[in-house]
Amino acid sequence: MSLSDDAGRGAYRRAKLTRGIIIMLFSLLLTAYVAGPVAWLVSSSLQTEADITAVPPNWLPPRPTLGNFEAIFATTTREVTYETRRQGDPATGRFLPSGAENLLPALWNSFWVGFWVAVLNLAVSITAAYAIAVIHFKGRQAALYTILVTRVIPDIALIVPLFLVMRNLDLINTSLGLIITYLAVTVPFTIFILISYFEQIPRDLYRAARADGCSHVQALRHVYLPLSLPALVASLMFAFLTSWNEFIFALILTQNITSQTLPIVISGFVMDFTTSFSFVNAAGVIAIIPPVVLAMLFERYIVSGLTAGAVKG
Amino acid sequence: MARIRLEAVTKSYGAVTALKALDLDIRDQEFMVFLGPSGCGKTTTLNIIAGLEEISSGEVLFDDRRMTFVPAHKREIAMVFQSYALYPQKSVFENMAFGLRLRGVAQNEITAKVTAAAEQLEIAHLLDRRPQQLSGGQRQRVALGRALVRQPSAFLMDEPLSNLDAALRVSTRSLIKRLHRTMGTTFIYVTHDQAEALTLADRITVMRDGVVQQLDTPEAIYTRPRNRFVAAFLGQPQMNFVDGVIGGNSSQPLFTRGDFAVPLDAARAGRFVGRAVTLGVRAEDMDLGSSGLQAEVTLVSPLGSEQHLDVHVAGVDLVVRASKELRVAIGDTINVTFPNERLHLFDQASEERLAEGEQ
Repeated sequence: MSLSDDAGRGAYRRAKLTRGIIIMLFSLLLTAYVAGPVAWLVSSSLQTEADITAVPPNWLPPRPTLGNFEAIFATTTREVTYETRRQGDPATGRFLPSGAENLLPALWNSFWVGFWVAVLNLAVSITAAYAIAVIHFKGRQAALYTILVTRVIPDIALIVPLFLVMRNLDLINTSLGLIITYLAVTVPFTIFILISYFEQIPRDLYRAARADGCSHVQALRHVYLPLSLPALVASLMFAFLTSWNEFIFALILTQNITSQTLPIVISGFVMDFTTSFSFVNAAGVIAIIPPVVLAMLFERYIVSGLTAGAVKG
Repeated sequence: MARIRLEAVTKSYGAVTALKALDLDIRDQEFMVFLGPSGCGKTTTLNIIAGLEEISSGEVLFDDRRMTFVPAHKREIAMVFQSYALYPQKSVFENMAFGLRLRGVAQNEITAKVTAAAEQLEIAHLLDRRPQQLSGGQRQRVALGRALVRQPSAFLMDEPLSNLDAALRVSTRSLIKRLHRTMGTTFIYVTHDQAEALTLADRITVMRDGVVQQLDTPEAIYTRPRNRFVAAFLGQPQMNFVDGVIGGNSSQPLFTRGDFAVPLDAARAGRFVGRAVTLGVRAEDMDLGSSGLQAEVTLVSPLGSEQHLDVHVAGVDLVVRASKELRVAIGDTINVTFPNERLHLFDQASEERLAEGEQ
């Protein structure tokens, strides 16, 4: 009797252990899969070109150097010509690809576009989501579906028409053109996130606010927005990151540095005659710093904001 | 302070009609209760008065002002909800002050009004707390206070006591009744609880499927229900109903169903001889004694102050109220009489009350 009990308990313990090991194993695999490329990016940005291309590869920088970053910030004071490029020594990490001087302006462009996309995205989506979630106007369902249907069409199919529209509006090579385009991508999603969040706020709170004397705008400001902070932060992040990472629209709609964003400029370095991996990787590190900082600052809000719509009963 | 009138108000949601040509005249300073089962349109009516729902047709008037298209925030009404609906991010003080702040009232006046209301409601010590730190009863007092600090033209309450436990419900009910007396404001109160309706109301509107069944004083609704629905909805235990016909002749009418026969008043029922009717009689309206129909007791439910007996009378099951002193056991036989003036007669087809008195 007690023997079989012990055996049962032992089997249970073994099963639990096996389960723990399997979960741990897959967690490690997932972490390596997600974090591996980033780790390699950071590691190689601190290596010279020679160390990066060494076989076998150096997982950790054998001789850590900030030379690549210095090279990036030196581009503002140094003119890059065919001659200077020839003089640059790829092995020291001070080799500059053509267009290197565009990196810092592109960083600014990315910020500028991302900032306005994040701000305008919220401004437009909040009011639209409030109207659809709270005010029971006629055509509410139709409005919602129209907004969602715009996201059914793949972006790639929109590129040519979008290019023509932007050209006719004289918005090629402008930040405004990019901002408008990105808003078209982010607004429908954001409206959707905010609607599901607003709909979770008890209807009685809306009725109480209206009875207390709130107009719709005041009800939005005093009741809905303060109670939706997680969703608002998540939307802000989502819009900024979408804009920050976007490649294909920016590639088509911007052709010079007055408006080109970071992904376009960095990808240009790879297409050079000689690719400076050290420089590209250092630029890559700079490109991921803002999203990482934002994500760390608002991590708490992002998790609850993104899952908010999912748990609606 | 306002007299509130609804004239032929209809509200449809697509194909569903929630209110059908509703006419209501709520007097100034009246305590009006909307009573009915869920889905009867009582909350919709309240929302329409508050301006929270648009109407499909008809008019809403406060005194003689046409309010049909006046938005909710300009109607100067105050609301209290079953869910309390306190702003979770604001302190108790700010919850109560919010309506005043929206109207640009000066800070010292706000403080004075909120403090006074808080003292009246005995929540002065809670002003710095957040709603989630309060019990249900305290939250509902804050919600009352939020409505109290303003001078609304009407107080609208949507089942404010339904989330409270039984003891708290009774004490808050008396609090609301006292508030109505001291404030002299029109109160409109929605509930599905007949006890609340009977204790609070000056007049009750009984609703069903978006149609008013009866609008009258609690006493009139209880003693002279206009149809079978109203009769069944009010009263605990529910009124007994027996389907049968009026037999006999016009000078000696008799309600019969098989062996069950009750003589009826000739003046009242004489002209309905031959009609299929439903006899309604409340548990407390039957007399137990030595004469009358023989009834076999099938269940005894003592309630402390009284007892309810399930009895079997000539093939009919009834619930009878008995005093707590009566010693009775299951299987005993008792005698039941049916005093004529306390019987209700409803037409079986239309379920309407049969007209009484002179033709």
